[in-house]
Amino acid sequence: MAEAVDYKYIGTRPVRPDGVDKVTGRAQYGADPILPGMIHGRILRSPHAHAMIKSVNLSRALELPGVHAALSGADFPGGIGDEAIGGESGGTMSDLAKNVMARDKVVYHGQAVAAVAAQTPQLALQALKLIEVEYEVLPVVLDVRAAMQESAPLLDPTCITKGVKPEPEKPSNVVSVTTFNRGDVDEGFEQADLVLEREYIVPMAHQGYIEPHGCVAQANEGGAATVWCSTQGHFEFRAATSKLLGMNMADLKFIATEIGGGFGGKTVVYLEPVALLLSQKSGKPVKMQMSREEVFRATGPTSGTYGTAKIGVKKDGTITAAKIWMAFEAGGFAGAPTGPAAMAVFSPYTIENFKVETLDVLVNKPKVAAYRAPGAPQSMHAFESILDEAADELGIDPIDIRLTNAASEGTTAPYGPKFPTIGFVECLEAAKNHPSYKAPVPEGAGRGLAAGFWFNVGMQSSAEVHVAENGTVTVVEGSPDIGGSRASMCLMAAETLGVEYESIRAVVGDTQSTGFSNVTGGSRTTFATGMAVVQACEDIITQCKSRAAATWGVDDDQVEWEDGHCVPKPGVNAEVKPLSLADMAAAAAKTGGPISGRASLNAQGAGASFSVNFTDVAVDPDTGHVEVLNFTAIQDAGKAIHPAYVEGQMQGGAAQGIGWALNEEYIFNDDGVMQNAGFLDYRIPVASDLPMIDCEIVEVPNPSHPYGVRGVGETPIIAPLAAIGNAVAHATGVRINELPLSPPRIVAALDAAHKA
Amino acid sequence: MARLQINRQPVDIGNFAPHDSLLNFLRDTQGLTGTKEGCGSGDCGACTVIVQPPADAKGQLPAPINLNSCITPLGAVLDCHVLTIEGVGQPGNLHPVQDAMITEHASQCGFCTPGFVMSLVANQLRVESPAALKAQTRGNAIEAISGNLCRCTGYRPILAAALASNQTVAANPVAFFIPEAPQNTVAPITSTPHQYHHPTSLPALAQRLKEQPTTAATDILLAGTTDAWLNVTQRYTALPSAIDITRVPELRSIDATDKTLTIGAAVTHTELLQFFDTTTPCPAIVAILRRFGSPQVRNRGTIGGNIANASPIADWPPLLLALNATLNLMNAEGVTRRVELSDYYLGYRQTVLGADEFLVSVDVPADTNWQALIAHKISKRIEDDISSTMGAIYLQQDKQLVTTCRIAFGGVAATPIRLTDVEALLLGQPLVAANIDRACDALGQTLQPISDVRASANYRRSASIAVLRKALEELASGDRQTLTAGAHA
Repeated sequence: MAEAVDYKYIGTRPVRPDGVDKVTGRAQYGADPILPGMIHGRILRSPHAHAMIKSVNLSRALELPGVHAALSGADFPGGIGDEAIGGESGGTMSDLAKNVMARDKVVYHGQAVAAVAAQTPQLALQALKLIEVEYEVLPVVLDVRAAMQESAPLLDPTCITKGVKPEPEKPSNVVSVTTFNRGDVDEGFEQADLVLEREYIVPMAHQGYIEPHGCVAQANEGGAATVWCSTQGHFEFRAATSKLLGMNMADLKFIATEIGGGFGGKTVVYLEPVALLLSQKSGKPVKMQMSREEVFRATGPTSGTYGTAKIGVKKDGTITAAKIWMAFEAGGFAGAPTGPAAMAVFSPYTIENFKVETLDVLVNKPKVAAYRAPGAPQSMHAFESILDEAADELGIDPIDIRLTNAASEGTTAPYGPKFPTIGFVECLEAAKNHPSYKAPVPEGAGRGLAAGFWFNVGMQSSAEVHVAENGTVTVVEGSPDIGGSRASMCLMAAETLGVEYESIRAVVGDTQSTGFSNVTGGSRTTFATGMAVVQACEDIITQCKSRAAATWGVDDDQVEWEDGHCVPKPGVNAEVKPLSLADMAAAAAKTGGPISGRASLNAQGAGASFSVNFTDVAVDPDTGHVEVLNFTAIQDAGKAIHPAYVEGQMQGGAAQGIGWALNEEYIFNDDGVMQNAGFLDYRIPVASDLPMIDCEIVEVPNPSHPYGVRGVGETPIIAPLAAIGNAVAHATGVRINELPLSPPRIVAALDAAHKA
Repeated sequence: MARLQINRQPVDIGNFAPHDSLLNFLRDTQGLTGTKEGCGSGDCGACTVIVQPPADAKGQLPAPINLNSCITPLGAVLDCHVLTIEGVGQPGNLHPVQDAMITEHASQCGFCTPGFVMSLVANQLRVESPAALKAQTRGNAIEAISGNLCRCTGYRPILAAALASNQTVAANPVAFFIPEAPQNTVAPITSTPHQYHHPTSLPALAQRLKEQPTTAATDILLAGTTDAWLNVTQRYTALPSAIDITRVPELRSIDATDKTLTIGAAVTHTELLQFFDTTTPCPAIVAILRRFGSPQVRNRGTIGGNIANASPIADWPPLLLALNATLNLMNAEGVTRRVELSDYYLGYRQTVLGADEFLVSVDVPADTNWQALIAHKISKRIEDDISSTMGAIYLQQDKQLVTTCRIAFGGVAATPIRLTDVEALLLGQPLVAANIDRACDALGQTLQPISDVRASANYRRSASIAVLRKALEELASGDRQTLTAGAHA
């Protein structure tokens, strides 16, 4: 078990090794590689949100001079099975294949239907206009409630709902129902002094990474291929591409370029198999890059939801029962994050009686993908809002009602296991003691508070650590660095090896240069890949001790490792000089050759991460504008390896949550065409929309990690939705249970309340 | 060969198409991939570069500007010095902004970082003195980066880097003054084979239009291209030829006479912001322009483009309608005519402009009381956004009675509109609560706005009423307020 200890390197804030590349434009992202003879691929996308494809004719496009290849769904191998995609994404491989390139049907506006590769991007766009596609347009269903009606058009006529008994006889748009139960909710509600039931709506929202998806694929004549891509997981991209193209995985080299944001959205392939097939057909390297419009229309945002929440509370604040029912938009293919949504929602609390039911519902919208704590923002928005309303009704402070019900070590989590050491109570106490919480609410403003929770995951990681002949160190790992993780790996290696941070560099190896690693997702990288790096460093220490023992002529167990040096155990041959890693490296040729360590693992015990956020907002009743006056994010990081990057995750997640709460939403017309597919009208926050977001890192070490790390990346987006909503409720006196709290919605709600 | 300078090196452009963008040229032709494409529409700032234009006709070197290279034609920067992230500083010789971005941990994914660096450097270049730079606040820094989107950081470390690097540069300003005047420029550009034209006088502009008889002037004339270029990047329109009006001196000047203040059509919003901040102070215009697009958009966008493209949600038309502006038009034959702005708009994106006509300048009466103008813009986001509704009110009183009243709105009809019926209710009346109520009720009954992704019709109506009410109450009390959709920057 890790104790709170003083470390030499961990917890410091050195500059990142890739910092200079980032500020000088040298860092290479997905669309940056330029290869000799490279041509440009573009995708033809469906103008209909629901239609059968009767035919695709590529011949006129292929006749255009300068066009080197064209393809449609028919060019991909068939027979893709229904196995799960795995990683962070829901859905099956056969659906993934159709999402990459439609076969006989399109299920959302913007779905890929054909592709070309041409000398220039402009020429490729021209060629797209020459592709003839014949559609039979089908009726569109966009709302989960409408999609669940018996009369609704079916996206997949073979879809029989899973998770309900008896199994339905008729197909529907409901892919599955996930249910968790404990105790007897009806009895629980009867014990309550106060019972509330409300509806909650959260809109479909996009991760909004600034870098559009981009890649370059180069197929060689012999069948081998190299793909440079912006990805959260190049190993999983390799696996998906090999499967979708029927290629031998051993022939594929995937290189993860720098990644310009992902937040879960770059865990799924869109362009890579297409670019590679175009490269095979043309014999040339093919670059593909999405426009911003394509990113919005045809990559995976997160689900919009419609749900109801019910809570029963005693006068002292004890929750006696809670119930959530929530339908998630899957988009055109199955795979909404209904599981984690259901598992997360009650996790911060000890509730004896609960029922949660989440539904994965097909609608004619883009297929959703992971977005930071997938599913939890939506479900926890509902519960954190209704809990707040209950606290208001009972006159209980929002921190106190949460403390009354807070989960702690030994609490059985709603999804099964007993929590080991967790830091929810510590986060609540930190909020209570925070100067901003003790400060009075500014005149005319309202304060809102909410909690967040995420499981975090471990999964598989590999790392190798190589000691160069002068004692400098290279860490090779397989987790794309999305927010500074190379710096964190260097810090953990420095701490473990006892060498200077500056003498260590971390690189993300390609799929042929390092062992398998799952996606950078699930807040797992610093935890799991970090654990692999630490173990690889320990491997080096073991080898060094053995080599020192041989050098000194003592037994292995008579050597210790202290502050980066092999030293003899007290009382053993005290005459010898301690050997540093550099000494060992210099003498490596005589002691067995180069010093390298490695570790591969499936990390267990990812520590759950809890957060508490609070904020003061002012609402202009005339314009409906919400000004966020201050925002404080408190979160248990276990141990912050590089506190600046932990704060970066907390601030960035808060900014995304605030944007989602106030302004971000997919707006569709009746035909299923997104109306705001650009950064002008899909409004992510600019600097003037946000206050200086304050952070307090709580450190309750995770006993399962050598340095106590808990994942931190996902939890931060959860609490802002309800925290902002609760603050707006307190500022205006009106509860608005539908997001975003955009100016028009607020004005309409205040008008309605005024009239009522 | 057409030429320009990139990062202090002369570059031959060779032949190019009028619709080639600066960004694609930098990335695909020059291999300068540090400049990024995030949106292709000038909304995210990832493609920001700094441009030092050549000396103008009077030999004056204009101030360097940052702009969105994705929506800037390559032809627009002929003879300019373009500074990209690669030219700001390299390892071992970093600019203080780059250094501060590293030490403040202001990059997470780093994709937006080059654009932020360029905007922050441009901000430092704009500031008139080291003392002023040193005194910059967080508000200044926010304004400097209001055209740059970051999705990872929440902006806090970027703002910290801005303020820290300002101090470094203020302490040693000479060392970090980057863009030099373009060297080795060659003239005349008209001898080059491309079809991107830079007429340098009004007659030459008319003549050039005359040589393009089959093309409507609005399809071929380019100014700041902050809107026009979306046809290229979003709708993939090819331009057979282009006439860039931004180097026509007559269109680039602001002239005051006894009768009028004449603003050339190609004067940029940044230039007007400066003019109305210092030369002829008008707080209402300054407040609106500060929230107009972003620095990158204001540096390129022109008043003429904002008027002539006839968008119902443009910000200048309501201001100019309230100021009783008149437009000076010219056709390809060189014949001029004057049109009242209130007669200019015919319908949605339709104007009285003839096929071979263009906008030369806009006149505002010289006796305008600039303090009598009040304007409020309502948008979802404070900056880098388009209005849901915008109102401008020009009102003067004498002996407690309204003597002049012009009310104009944008975003509430197919065109920017004057509300003469509402004005009539106030003229000759005192600005008391009952009259303000009557005017607001009348406005609510007159407006028939549309619903779209930016706002619902009901919201536009109620927000417009709020705008008018607040403006009239300010005028009644003499107490100026902000109603920037809640902004208290």
